[in-house]
Formats: sequence, C-alpha cells, structure tokens
Amino acid sequence: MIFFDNASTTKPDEVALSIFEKTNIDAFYNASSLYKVGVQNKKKLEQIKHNTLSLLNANLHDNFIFTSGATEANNIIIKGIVRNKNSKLIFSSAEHPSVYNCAKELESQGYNVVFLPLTKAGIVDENIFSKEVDINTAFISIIHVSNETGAVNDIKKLVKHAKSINPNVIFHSDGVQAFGKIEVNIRNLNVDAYTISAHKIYGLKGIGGFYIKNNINLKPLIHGGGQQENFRSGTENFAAICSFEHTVTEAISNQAIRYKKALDVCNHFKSKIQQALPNTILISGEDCSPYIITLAFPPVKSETLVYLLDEKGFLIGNGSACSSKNKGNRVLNNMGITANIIDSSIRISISKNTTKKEVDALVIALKECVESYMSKIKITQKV
Amino acid sequence: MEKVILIRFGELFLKGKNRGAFERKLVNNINEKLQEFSVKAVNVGSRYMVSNYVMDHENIIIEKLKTVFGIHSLSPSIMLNNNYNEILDYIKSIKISSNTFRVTVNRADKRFPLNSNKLSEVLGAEILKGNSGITVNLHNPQTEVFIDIRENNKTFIFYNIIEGERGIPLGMGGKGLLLLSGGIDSPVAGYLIAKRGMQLQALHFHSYPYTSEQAKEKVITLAKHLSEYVGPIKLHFVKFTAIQEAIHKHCRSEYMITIMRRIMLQIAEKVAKDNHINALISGESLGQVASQTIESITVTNNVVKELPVLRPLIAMDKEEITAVAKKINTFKTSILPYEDCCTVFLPKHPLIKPKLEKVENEELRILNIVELINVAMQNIETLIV
Repeated sequence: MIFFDNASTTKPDEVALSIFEKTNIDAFYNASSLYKVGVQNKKKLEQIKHNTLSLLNANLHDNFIFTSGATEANNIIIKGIVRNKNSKLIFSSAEHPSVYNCAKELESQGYNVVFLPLTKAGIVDENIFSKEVDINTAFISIIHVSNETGAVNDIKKLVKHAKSINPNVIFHSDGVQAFGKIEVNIRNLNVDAYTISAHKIYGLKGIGGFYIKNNINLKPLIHGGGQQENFRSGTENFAAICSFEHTVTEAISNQAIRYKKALDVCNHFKSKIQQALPNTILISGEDCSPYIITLAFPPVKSETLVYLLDEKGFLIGNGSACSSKNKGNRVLNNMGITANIIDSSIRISISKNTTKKEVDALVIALKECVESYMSKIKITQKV
Repeated sequence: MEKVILIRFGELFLKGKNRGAFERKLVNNINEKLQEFSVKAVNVGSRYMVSNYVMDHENIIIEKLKTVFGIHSLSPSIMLNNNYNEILDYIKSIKISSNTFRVTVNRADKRFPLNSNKLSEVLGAEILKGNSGITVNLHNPQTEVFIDIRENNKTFIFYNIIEGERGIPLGMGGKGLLLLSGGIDSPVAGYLIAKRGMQLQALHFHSYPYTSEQAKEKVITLAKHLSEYVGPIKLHFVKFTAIQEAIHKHCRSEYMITIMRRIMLQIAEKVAKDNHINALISGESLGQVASQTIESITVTNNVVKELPVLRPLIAMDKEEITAVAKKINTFKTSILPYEDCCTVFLPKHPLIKPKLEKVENEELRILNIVELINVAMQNIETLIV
C-alpha cells in the first residue's frame, strides 16, 4: 500500500509515538497540581511553549496555545476575536472548512462577512484584497497554503498591505499545510495569529495549536479551570504536547531539505504523468506547494478513480464527490474551473518519504486505471 | 398489586375464524422481541400483558413493543384483583402532581357490584380527598386515571395509552423481496408492506468502483434500522457493474435507466424464486422521477412474469414518505451522499414515456445479456442483518 494522501494526514514517526507513550507512563501528572512532579510538568509546558515560539521565530513574549488540533484552534481564534457586528470580517474563498464554516456561522448571526474570490491560480486576488480592506475591517483570515490545490498566498505581502490601510486589523493565517513544508517565519510574516497541526507533519492526531500576539484580546471559547492563561481551559495533554515539541523541532530543522526533495519528486511526477497521459489537466500550478498536486483526467470521475487505485494499492484523495447531491468543490469552483474537471479532480499529496520510484508506480497505475475507464465509458461530454 | 404492561390488539378482531392464527403469531412475535428480557406475553381476557420484568427495563420493553406490528396500544399499568377494597386502597395512595384530573372506568366484568359511573364518582372523590388543590375536569384533564375491570378477575389501573404500530402480525402476509436502493423511499416501502404482515428479504445492486463501498455500508445500515421492526433481514447484494457497463456501451444513453431497471427486476424475480418469496416490493411513487411515470412502470413491470410487484408508495408524495422515513429512523442514513448509481451512467435526458417495443429492440444490442445476468446471479453475496 502506497500512501499519497499526506495532506489529509501523515504516518506519525516513531519518536513522536514513543515520546507520547513514555511521557504518559513516567509523567502523567496534572500540570496544574502542586506537588513537585506536577510543577515539573508545568515548567516543561512553559519551556515547550517558549521553544515553539522560538522555532516559529516569533516574539517570545507572545503566546502559543495548545489545542486538540487546527479545527479547535481556528474556532478559538475566530470566535474569540470577533465582537462587533458592524465591522468587516474578511476571509478567502479557499479557507479550510474549519475557518470557512466559522465564517458562515458568523454570517448567519448577522456579522458583516466578506469572502474574497480566488485567482485562476487559487490564491487571493491582491487587487480585490486591497479594495476590500478598509478602516472598518476588524479581522482577516487567509489560508497560507491551500489544502485543496497547494496554492501559496503571499501572507507577508497581504499583512503588510492590510496593516498599511488599517493598522488595527487582526490578521490570522491557517498554516496547517504550510508549517514544516514551506518556510514559516512569524516575525517575517507579521501575522497576529497562526494555526498549526502536528498530524500533517508526522506527529500525532489530537494535538496542535496556535500562535497569537500578546496584545490581542481573545475571549475564551472554552470555559473551565483556566489553564493556558484561560485561553483554553482543560487539563493540558502533556504527553501529546511533549510529542508535539519533537514534531515541530524536526519539521523546522528539516524543512529546507525536505522541501527540496519534495519539489524534485513533485516535478518528476508532473512530467511523468503528462508523458503517460497527455490529456492530464494540472490544476496545481508552478507556484504551488510541491507537497500537493491536484489534477484531473476528465471525464474520469474522481471517486471511481479513488476506488480503482485503492484496489491497486494506492491511496489518494479526491477533490470532489461523484454525486449529484454534492455538486462540485467550493475552492475549485471559485477558481473558475469547469464542473466536468472538478468532477474529475484528484489530489496527490506527498510526504518527506515519498520516492520517485513510488511516483513512477503511481503513474503506471493511473495510466492503467484511466485507460481502462475510458475503454468502458462512451465519451459524451466534450472535454 | 403488580406492575404490568397491558397490550391491546388492533385489526385482529376483524379476522373471524383466522383470529386464533393471527393471535398466536402476534404473541410469538412479541415473545421473540422480548426474548432478551426473559418475559412472555400472557392472555388476560381480550388483552395480553407482560409482567415479572425488571423495573429498569420497563421503558425499553415498551419501546420494543412499539415496533411490533399488530399491537394497537400499550399501557404500563398496576394490576389488582377485581376487589372493591383493593382498588380503593390503591386509589387512596395516588398522588397527582397536575392541577386537574378525571377517572375513567371501563367495567368489562359486569359482575362487579358498582357500575362504571358510580365507581368513577366514588374513586374520584377519594382522589380529591387525598390531593389538595386539584379539581376534576371531565373534558380536558391533565391527568386521566383509567380503571379497566376485566372479566378474568383482574383490574388494571393506568394513566397512559401509548399508540402501537397497528397493522398485521409479521409473517401473516407471506414473504416479499424489497428492492433496497439506499434512497429515502425503499426502506419506507419495506416498512409499510411489513406492517401488512409481510416478511422481508432485501436486494441491493451495486456497481463498485463506480459507486463506493460506503454506498454498500449505507444499505446495510438501512437494513439494520428496518430490522428493528421486521426482525433479521436476509440482504442480497448483486454485483451490477458489468451489466451497467454493457448497457452503457451498447445502448443509447436515454435508454440507460429503463433498461437498467428492467434487468434489475428480472434478477429480482429470479432471486425471489430461488428464496421461495411471493412478491417483489419497490419504492416507486407515481410521477416522482422520469423512471416512475406510468409508461416507465409499464415497460419495466413487463419483464416480471409471475410475481406481483407491490408498490406501497405509489400514491404517496415525498413529504409523506419522508415523514415515515424519519419515524423509522432511516431518513438520516438515506440522505448520506453515497449514491446507488454513479453520475457517469445517468443520462442527461432519460426517457419519460418509453415504448416497450423500442426498449426491447434496444436491449437486443447487448448480445451477452443472458450470460451477464447468469454471472450476476452466481456472484450474489448474502448476509443477514
């Protein structure tokens, strides 16, 4: 079985697992307790927070809050920051559901929510962005790397632009598909809040968190014992946080070398697949993250292709469901991609361990599946 | 004094000389449903009751009984002897928390000394004595105390009449093969026909990899929900991929659905006969979609040679069907987005009024159809849900 769905999750590395297990046995104590071993855990938590801020190249006086993952982090940030129904809240149309559906919820409650359209490349249109941001804008959330296409928004530029129009605007970016994969430097990006998750970068599911500037007034979403400076109550998942430290450290120290390898594998795949199947439509462009390649073989339905490849031992993601009840895909649709291509879009996402040999095998399997499908299906649609 | 659940029958009274058989079947079905609680239904005059159960199980036993076809209504009751003093003692102990009440007496045992009017008057007065601040309201009481004095020297006192499923005991209406697609309609069709006493098996056509494994899991979940009412269901899966590919390849696209449904019905009739089943059951509702116009139904029905095709939803609209689907808990599963037929095979313009002769000619283009059907028949996967 070869796994090509690494944007959905990754196989955790053994050290991440062993730290979790060992810590749970040796240091299971509640970090809020008064005895020595509890206090030690508390100290260790402070130290990990410090290290994480340092690895992110953020100001050490700022905060990092641990959560169960990115969905919770995004909910805490968005719902904890927005207050005023009259001020404008700006989101891109490419946001992950954990951001997009928060925005939709706020919209339904009467907040002034604006969704920015995407360019054909899948990023926020900077001209439209400039027109939308105004002195009344309170909050902006733009995904760093799209989970659908790998398209990379120039967050640094967008933040600079937004702050030049309105210095008080709070800028958040969901960095789940960026952190550990492309370069992430908080000081350089100058964002106010940034979300990351461990399980997309060989860590454990159930642990993630967010960076937040200390001058931001965040209302807690979860009330309880006041842990993590009352921003996220609940006994800290100490063992998972220790494992998270390892994951983050590994991700940062190997980011550049892994990126180079991923780019090499990605380019290899793109050229091989276009040779094997000349009608391939590459949706992910040159400037996208090399870890995510979205492509289509119309009129082959993506869902069917997922099953066919599954039988051959290749696990891939599908961009949209082959279902009349679930038409299309919000992000691809917003990029102006036609319905038949959306219906056919699949997502190949690679990991630090993906080899060219594996990619070659995938190309062969894809070719066989697409050709077998085409031989059975009459072509009635124009591609 | 004993806590029991009183069970009333519905249409069984209509069945004349067959009543004995219907009643035996019903009691049998009740006992099967309650097997895990080690209790049995026993006869009390023209009613049945369940007794000697663990009190913590009362609610769950009632829920189970609510899924038994043939039960008209249920009442958790107190059972006493037909003895005035015994009844009086119990009535004196009643505490009523609402503001208004009435007493309703049914005196089936005419030997009982006081008639029902007199008895409700006397017992009502006792309740008033024991509960300060409450009044009698005959027309719209918040609490109604029912006293049912039966012929077998037992009196039942209860506060609630819980509606049962009604219908006819399962097993009295033969066996049917339900075409279970995964949509909203077919589970409802199965439920409604089972309510007329028909035992069910189910048949599903899947076309992996054009449809997902999840679509199959969804059908299993639907059958599980249905089995709450109809007991274990034998579920047959037919691999339909090769047939669908053949129709798609050889026939004009607008004929796809008509021909597909005709072949499905042919296979269904064969499966039914192999399993000694008396009828096919389909969830069609007249005019709902192109394949359910009277012309389409005529053309598809034409392939079924011996068995009747029962269509319990034929005159129901979507809202009515949906309401039943929600009641039997299949709706949420039915609307999951895994379809029984991939969009790749769905024509843009299916035939609304197909002509039999033209359809038959179109089918002739699939030269190996008999063989394909045989292969599908040989590869049926069956499980009991």
